[in-house]
Amino acid sequence: MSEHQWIEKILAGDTQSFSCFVAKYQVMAFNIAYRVLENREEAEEVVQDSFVKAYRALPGFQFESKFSTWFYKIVYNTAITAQRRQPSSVSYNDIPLLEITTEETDNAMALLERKDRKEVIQLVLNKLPQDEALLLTLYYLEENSVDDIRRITGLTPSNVKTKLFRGRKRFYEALQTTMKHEMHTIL
Amino acid sequence: MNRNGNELDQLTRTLFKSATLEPSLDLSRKIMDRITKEQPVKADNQMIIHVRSWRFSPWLIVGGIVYLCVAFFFLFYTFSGQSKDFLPILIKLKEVLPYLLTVIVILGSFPFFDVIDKALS
Repeated sequence: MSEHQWIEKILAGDTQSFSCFVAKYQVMAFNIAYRVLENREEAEEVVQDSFVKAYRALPGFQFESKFSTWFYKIVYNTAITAQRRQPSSVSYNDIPLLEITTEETDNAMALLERKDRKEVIQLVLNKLPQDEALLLTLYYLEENSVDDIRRITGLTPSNVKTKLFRGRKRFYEALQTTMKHEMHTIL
Repeated sequence: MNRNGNELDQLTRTLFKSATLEPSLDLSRKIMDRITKEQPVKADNQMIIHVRSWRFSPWLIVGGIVYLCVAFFFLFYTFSGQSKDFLPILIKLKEVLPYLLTVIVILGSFPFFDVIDKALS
């Protein structure tokens, strides 16, 4: 059954059909909210609120974009609203970007094999500026296109591309720094 | 030597896929609990939804209107006396009408009209 048909069923009064969307999108929604808020409990609250908002707004969904893009925009906006209630975070924009060599990424990858990969990557992502970490998550985890990310975040396409480029560089820098620190701690 | 963009893209994608954060196991239950407490949502075009979900009544209404029109026609020509030519036909129709209405009501209670409804929509 297509998403279009699921939506028609929900609009015809079959509330339980909404559970299909919950099952399909809750993980990505949680990852988006977590990238913005960096707090599991608050991210889960935002995911819940976002699904309720999406449910209420469903009659207005015109199928002009993918359901996922429309929904992630709701998640993103809800997370941003929740974030405004939090204390402001540090700006990373002044940190210079370095060139990443093959050897450096290979070293980081090799070191990564020895640690719990998931734990380390989350640690590294937490060190990145929130907007870059979010864009990397949207682009690499959910494989959203630049145009989809533009619709979700409201950024311009060139801004999305720049932030992705910078974010990816910074990600590998932070990954290497983290792994060096980890190795130093182990030794 | 610098790694090219595509290679780095592929590598990053692999890393991200292996590091997906999982929410709590009861998150979906919490969401659905909140959704079930919500009022059922309706499409903007409410007429379409009503016709689809309320499948028998429109046909019964149509049957009722037809019945009333024929009854009015019958009464008008019977008591006005304007057209004696119609009288035998109307008398016949009067005999048939209760059966016709019964048939409409019975057929309206079966999914037969739903098939027509779907064909028309």
